[in-house]
Amino acid sequence: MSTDQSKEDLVAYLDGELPEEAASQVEKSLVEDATVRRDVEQLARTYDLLDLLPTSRASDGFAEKTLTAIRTHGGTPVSESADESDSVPQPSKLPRLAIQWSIRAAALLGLMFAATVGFNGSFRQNSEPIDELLSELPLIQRLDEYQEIGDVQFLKSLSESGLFDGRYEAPQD
Amino acid sequence: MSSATHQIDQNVWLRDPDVQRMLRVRDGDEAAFGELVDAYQDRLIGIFTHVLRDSSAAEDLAQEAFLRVYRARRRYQPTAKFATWLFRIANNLATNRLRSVSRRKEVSLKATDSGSLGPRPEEQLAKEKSALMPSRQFDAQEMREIVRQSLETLNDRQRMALLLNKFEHMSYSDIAASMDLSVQAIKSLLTRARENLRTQLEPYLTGTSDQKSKKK
Repeated sequence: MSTDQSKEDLVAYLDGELPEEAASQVEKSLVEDATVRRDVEQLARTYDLLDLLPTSRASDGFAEKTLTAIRTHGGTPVSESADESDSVPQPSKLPRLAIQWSIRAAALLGLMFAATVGFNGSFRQNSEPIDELLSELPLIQRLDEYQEIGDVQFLKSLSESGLFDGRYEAPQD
Repeated sequence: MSSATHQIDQNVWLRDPDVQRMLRVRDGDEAAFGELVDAYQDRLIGIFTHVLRDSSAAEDLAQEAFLRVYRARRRYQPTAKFATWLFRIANNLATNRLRSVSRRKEVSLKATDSGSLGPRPEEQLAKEKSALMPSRQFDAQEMREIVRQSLETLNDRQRMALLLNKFEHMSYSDIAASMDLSVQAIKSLLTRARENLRTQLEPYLTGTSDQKSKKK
């Protein structure tokens, strides 16, 4: 067998799952190619060996135990808590890939929305310190001078002394 | 899907006698549920035993599967064969169980730090014995053990797909619905499973052609 596709076709042929045209193709190969014949024979014989596996049977009273369990614990329908994956398979309305891509697209949109909301929130949070800085800009601009003076109390007493508005009187010795 | 198409789909499934039984269960007929348990108990336990390699756990899970069917009875809609639905539940239960067993193994390995798990001594012995004598005749018991070990070399999904295909005679599309995979995925899974089996069992093919008739 040369390719994965032809292997799959051989197995599907043995299982009766191949469409008519593909099945004819396999039958043609079987007639013409001894290797294909050997492959099919081995696949069939090894599959038949599974019949040797031991068969398991329910222990005595299993059915009765199960029905008792149902009477005791199983009375409540689980419409709310049911596992969705246990639901009866539905005939698919959309191709599987389409469903998968829709889910991915929805997830991507959700991610973009979350990112936008996150950025806005973070920007608003960060803008508060900026407002504070702006209101204190005059102080910041003269911060070096204020630091040189070092003491606000000293500045206040200097201002009250009138040194800068001509009210200052030098002490008389 | 239009309601007419939906109606046609439902009518298709209504031909399944087990769907009819399940509809009776939905309407409160407990005897019909007993009939379903009788019809499927060995089949479910058989699949679980091969998948879990533990007959006691197989019975527990089979009971849980029936419980889930019964609990879901009131919202039951016939949109597939009954067996497809039941084995879908079985597949979910088996997958969850195998996952939790594998987690437990991981934790216990980390705790003991005793290296990787090799094959069990008796399996190793059987393999060595077989390898030494590839061309000799095997009796039915030996051959059964070799086949069982070969089945265990498949991964969980390959094994489940193969068992549903072999013992439940399920079509690829029914297996796909039971395992929540695409038909193409099932086709590939089964091909790999059959190829693996062939690789494992090919050395024993000579002289085994009459094993099945001996067994029967």
